Amino acid sequence: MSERKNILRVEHATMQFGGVVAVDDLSLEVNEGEIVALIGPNGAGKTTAFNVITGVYQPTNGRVAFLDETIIRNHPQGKMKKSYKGKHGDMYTAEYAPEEALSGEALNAWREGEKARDAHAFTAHVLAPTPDEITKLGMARTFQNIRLWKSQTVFDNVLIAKHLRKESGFFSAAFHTNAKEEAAQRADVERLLELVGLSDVKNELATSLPYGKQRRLEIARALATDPKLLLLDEPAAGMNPQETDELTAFIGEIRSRLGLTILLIEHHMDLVMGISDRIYVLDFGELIAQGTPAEIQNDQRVIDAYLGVSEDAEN
Amino acid sequence: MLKNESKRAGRKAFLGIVILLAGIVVLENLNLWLPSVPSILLPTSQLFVVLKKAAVYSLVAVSMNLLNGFTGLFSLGQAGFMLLGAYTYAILTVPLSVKDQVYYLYGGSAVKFSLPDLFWGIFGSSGAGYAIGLVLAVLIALILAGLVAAGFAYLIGLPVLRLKSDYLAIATLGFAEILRAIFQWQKLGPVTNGANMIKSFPIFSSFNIKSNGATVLYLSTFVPFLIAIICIVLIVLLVNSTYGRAFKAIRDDEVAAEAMGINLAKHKMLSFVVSSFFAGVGGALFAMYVANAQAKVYTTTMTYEILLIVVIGGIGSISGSCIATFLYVACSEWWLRFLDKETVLDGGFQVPLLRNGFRMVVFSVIIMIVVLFFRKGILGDRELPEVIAGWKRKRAKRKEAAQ
Repeated sequence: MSERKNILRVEHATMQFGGVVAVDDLSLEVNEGEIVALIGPNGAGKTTAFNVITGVYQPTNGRVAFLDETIIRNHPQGKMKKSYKGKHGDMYTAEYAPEEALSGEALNAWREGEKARDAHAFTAHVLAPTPDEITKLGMARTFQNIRLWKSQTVFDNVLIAKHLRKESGFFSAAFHTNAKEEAAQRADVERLLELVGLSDVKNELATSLPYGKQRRLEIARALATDPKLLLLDEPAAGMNPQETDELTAFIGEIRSRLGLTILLIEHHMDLVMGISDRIYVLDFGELIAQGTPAEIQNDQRVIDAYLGVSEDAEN
Repeated sequence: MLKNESKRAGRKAFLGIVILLAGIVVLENLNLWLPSVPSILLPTSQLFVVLKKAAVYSLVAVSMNLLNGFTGLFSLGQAGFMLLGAYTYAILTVPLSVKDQVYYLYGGSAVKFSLPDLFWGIFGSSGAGYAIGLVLAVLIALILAGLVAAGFAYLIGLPVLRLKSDYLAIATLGFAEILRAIFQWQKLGPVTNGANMIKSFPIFSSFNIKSNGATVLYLSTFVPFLIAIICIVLIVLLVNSTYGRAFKAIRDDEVAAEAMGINLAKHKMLSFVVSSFFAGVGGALFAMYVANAQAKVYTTTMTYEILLIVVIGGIGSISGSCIATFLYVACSEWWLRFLDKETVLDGGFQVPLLRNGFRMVVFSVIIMIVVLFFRKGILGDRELPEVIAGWKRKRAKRKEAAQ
């Protein structure tokens, strides 16, 4: 599996709000074509982790690389210094050297490796892109509580998400001299709506759709930004078992048809165990386990923290 | 198919605009072409005052709607940008021959040139040359008025657009007030004429075509309509473009818009600058309408007036703003004027309450009623064609049900 191209690599990501460390030293990897799930009990920091990856929050510490390029990096120097409660306080600064007292050859090799992975290694450089910049790189997300554009139709909701891929400038767009591009975008949207099965309701207001379809529309909208990595924040929240099954099939389908890589947060264990290649488990902001669904199901720490003892007895 | 549809809609709109403009020209020239007309059609009648003012106000209202209704930025700086536009226009177009007269308190103007004179120098100052020079000068001055307002908007937008909702409103309101004070500053007298008005620049009636001292074609209502319509069409095109859709996305849900790759800072700034550009043009038109530029006119009250129009017309509806402007201006300038006059009926009965100022009382009540019962404005966030299509559908349905 490690042969596959790396899409997303999160290293030592820490997000601290005042005294609360919502995400503590989270490291995870997503490789091309995988479906990776991030699970954990309520308040474990899953959505915060998403917000860090997508640029909504600037992490207190850590580094995020997308397609082998560092896109986010920060360190708790300066005003955060005194109150920092995470584990890796000195990483990503100029002075950092590994704790295990590497020396000579080994240290140099490690340094070379770091530099190859991160252009800003051993500097205090901070990379804090805004969410739109990250989306432009090819990472799109959905939201836990649906955030569609309420006054817009289904079609327009998807079409607006195409805005970032336009090449025509402001004046060309404002004077409508970009008809070709506009037509191409509209055709793209038609195709996408066909794919997600919303063509028949494309002229309805987004908010008039039933809940399950709104979820699909959110996914369609994210797909319209041409992502390589799709981040789904609880796509099955509030769905009944039948809808969840449909969604599971749907996610599998778009993965194979569009060659996507998917990172998802989910509470429905059926869905997670059914489609994930690998699973990361968070509890109180910390990573407590990672592995294949089978491994996670049998991990005692996970069972204690999340799945509960009674289900264990059934197994 | 969709392309054809939008093309047909575009052609329809174009035809409608041409008919409207032709109608305006006919209306204001009937008094020349017919032997006798009712007093309402005389060029000095209240009707044309209302039409002119409403044309100017509708442009400003639509520009405000672009910002408040389509991008969801609650800004109250419109009067400030109008002021910038008005002064830019006035300063650039006061003819050299009257400059000393206008700036007599400051011993002449610091701006030593004037656009009309510049063009008259090129095209000659009589006959067709005069007309071409005038039109070019006014056109360029209007565009510069817009650009100055837009430039200021950019500078103000840098710090201010980080704010949200009420805070943005307060900041822009404050900016407008500061501008008003600065323009009345004595030290700027040679440029702005201090607290005095700048006048004698080309106004709407300068476009009336005269021959031997007698007017042969009135264009003084046509000109503001033409300019306002061109600007509003540009705004409509913008709103229906991919940028307009991005603005609406920001209005509906900022977080989602940003997550879908829409750069909030850039798009908010765009909307702010474009809105201010047209407010600047609107301000210049307003200066032409009142035939002077005076800072003390561009008060907060003016912004509120425009905001009121936008709210009555429907936040997020351009046609709503236009309709509301005409109703509002007609009410305040014309239809409710009789309330201000003490009236004594035939039998010596004096109608109670009618006296100076009562108009505003009635007006306020009407506005309260509108806001209470048409909470989303006359058209809500839809445009007129949609609303009419909705009515037609409803009527067809009712017919079906009846059968």
